[in-house]
Amino acid sequence: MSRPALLHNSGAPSRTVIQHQTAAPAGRTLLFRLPPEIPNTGSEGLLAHLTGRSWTGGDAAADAELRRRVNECAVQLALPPAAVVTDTADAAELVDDLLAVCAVLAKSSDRVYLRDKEPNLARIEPGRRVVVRLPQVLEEKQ
Amino acid sequence: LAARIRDSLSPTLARYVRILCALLRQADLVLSPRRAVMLLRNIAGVHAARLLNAPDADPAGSAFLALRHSLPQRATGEAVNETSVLAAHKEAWTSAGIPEDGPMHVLMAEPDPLHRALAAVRCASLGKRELSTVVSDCLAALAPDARHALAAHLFESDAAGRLVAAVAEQAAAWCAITATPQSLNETVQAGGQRHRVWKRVLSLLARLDPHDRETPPATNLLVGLFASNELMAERDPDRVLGAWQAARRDIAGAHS
Repeated sequence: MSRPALLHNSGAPSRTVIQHQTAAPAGRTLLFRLPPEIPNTGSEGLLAHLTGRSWTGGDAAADAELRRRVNECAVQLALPPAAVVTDTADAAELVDDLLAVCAVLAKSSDRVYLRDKEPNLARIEPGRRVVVRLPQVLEEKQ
Repeated sequence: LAARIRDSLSPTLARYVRILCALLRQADLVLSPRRAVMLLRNIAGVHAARLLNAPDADPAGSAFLALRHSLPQRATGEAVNETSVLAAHKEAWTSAGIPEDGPMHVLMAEPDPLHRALAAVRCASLGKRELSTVVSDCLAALAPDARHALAAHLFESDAAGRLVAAVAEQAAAWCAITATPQSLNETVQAGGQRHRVWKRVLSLLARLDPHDRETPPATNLLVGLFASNELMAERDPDRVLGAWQAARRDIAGAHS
């Protein structure tokens, strides 16, 4: 009796699941996001929250004033001139200083925080969060 | 005339040829020292001939014409990438006109992209644009694993803050792989190529010292690259880890 040239297995190839979770390198992770009680009220609303008084100087002046405050705050923040922005917020420390949050949101893209970048006020929006990763080597130097 | 041109342009031409050789080496076009001297003489000769024909002939054009006809690779049938040659010529000619004691000169003469980037980072007098140009060239020239090591160093040393936004953004994308925890959950064919590569990754990770601060970024790199399908062959994990560790040692050595 002749045998078939090709022996077909009836079963599907066996599958296996690879699961792995790595740890974060030494360092700190900071989470910046607007508090939920602050609605999307633009520069005037943010200035009102920052100063405790309603802004009466108009939209353009409010933008300029918020830019000035954000730039001043960024220089004083205990952050390096550039830091990696990630989407993993595990064990991140929440920063609750409103002006610091505005500064980091305005000067961060989805990948990097740049202290000397011109602030983009449109990126200060409720619901957006920025997770900044600070390597330990840098913290030791500072 | 050729001798007079060689005498008067000699310092600039020598700088041009030295920088050019370093840049061509990156494009896999190696010129021997003998060939480099020959090129210098050829440039002077070509320029003399062009001056006789047109008194306003530019030395840069003569240099490029001489360069194109002085490469020995064509004689041995090796392919010569004209775009790389033109880019190297332009960059070398521009750099050769910069004062000799300028930092860009020293940098352009450094053939190794990692060492060149490290030297540029140490050079505080380089402006944002110059540093970004050097760093982005080096990142592009490096193998992927060493590229991640350089990107990590830029953010560990504050140097990323001296880069223009586009270059910092790209470096951050590479650095994020090693700086953030990686999560992998994937179904593969048991015993298949991908499964074998993963087993090789695990075998390498098992050998790393868990107390070494270099272990988490190395682990993230291997797992991150595996998850993004950048480790395809069984030897890739060894190559990547070896290059990453060598680059990290180089960087640590340069800063010790």
